[in-house]
Amino acid sequence: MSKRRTIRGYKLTHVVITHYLDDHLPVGGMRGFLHGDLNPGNRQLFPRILCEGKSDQAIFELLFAPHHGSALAGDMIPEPPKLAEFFMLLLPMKYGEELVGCAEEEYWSRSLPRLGARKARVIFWAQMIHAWLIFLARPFAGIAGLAWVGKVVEAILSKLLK
Amino acid sequence: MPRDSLGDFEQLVLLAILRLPDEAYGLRIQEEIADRTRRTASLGMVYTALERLEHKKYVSSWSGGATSERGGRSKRFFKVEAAGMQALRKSLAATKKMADGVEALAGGRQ
Repeated sequence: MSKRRTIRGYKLTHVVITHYLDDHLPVGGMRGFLHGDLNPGNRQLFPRILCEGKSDQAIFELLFAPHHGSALAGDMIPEPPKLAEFFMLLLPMKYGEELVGCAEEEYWSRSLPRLGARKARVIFWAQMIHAWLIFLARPFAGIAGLAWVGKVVEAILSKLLK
Repeated sequence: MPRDSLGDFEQLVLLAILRLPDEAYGLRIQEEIADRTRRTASLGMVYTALERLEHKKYVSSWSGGATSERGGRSKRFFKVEAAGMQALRKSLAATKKMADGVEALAGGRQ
């Protein structure tokens, strides 16, 4: 068991489940070990779970479940860019908090598992920049010449998401 | 443009909300639009449209519980109100009336 304590030199402190299927992962078995809101029926769920020492076996079962899950050691967890999140929270929008929540959910549940950390972070930044551009362009909405700015960001976003 | 008219994107947002009963929040609405129309909308666009629609009283919203995958932030769910349904019907009917009888559309040509 002591050999399994590290993955590529990182000490296991967290596990991130990107996605899982009930038939491949020992979700029921893991429930006893992991703290978090695991809902076996919800395949969109992307919980970040803090593990205790006893959870090694569960983590390794998860790691080696082919194609249906992945786990990262604590130091390797690529968080969404904090600065982009901060700028997004500065948006004077009624639902700014919810917007950031959706950007985080998109990051964890969609961008990161499908595209990897680097692209996921770029998408997060693009979401923030686009939200600000839309806000700043509101007073000039009638000026057709400014529409291209939003279109360029939209085109970049759509390319990244493909 | 009259204040109560619906824009192209607002129409898509209203339709997405109708397609997602009880689970229409920003990200799901964005995904629904992307899945069905192949149009990539940013979250900023979706939330700006939602705020505008709420201001027009076409939609109402309520806050859901906070979840871990959202960094502890809550979801805001949206529902189409009667005024929104009326505006949507009007807008779709206008589009249909304009499209009716256009031969190029009937033949599937662009």
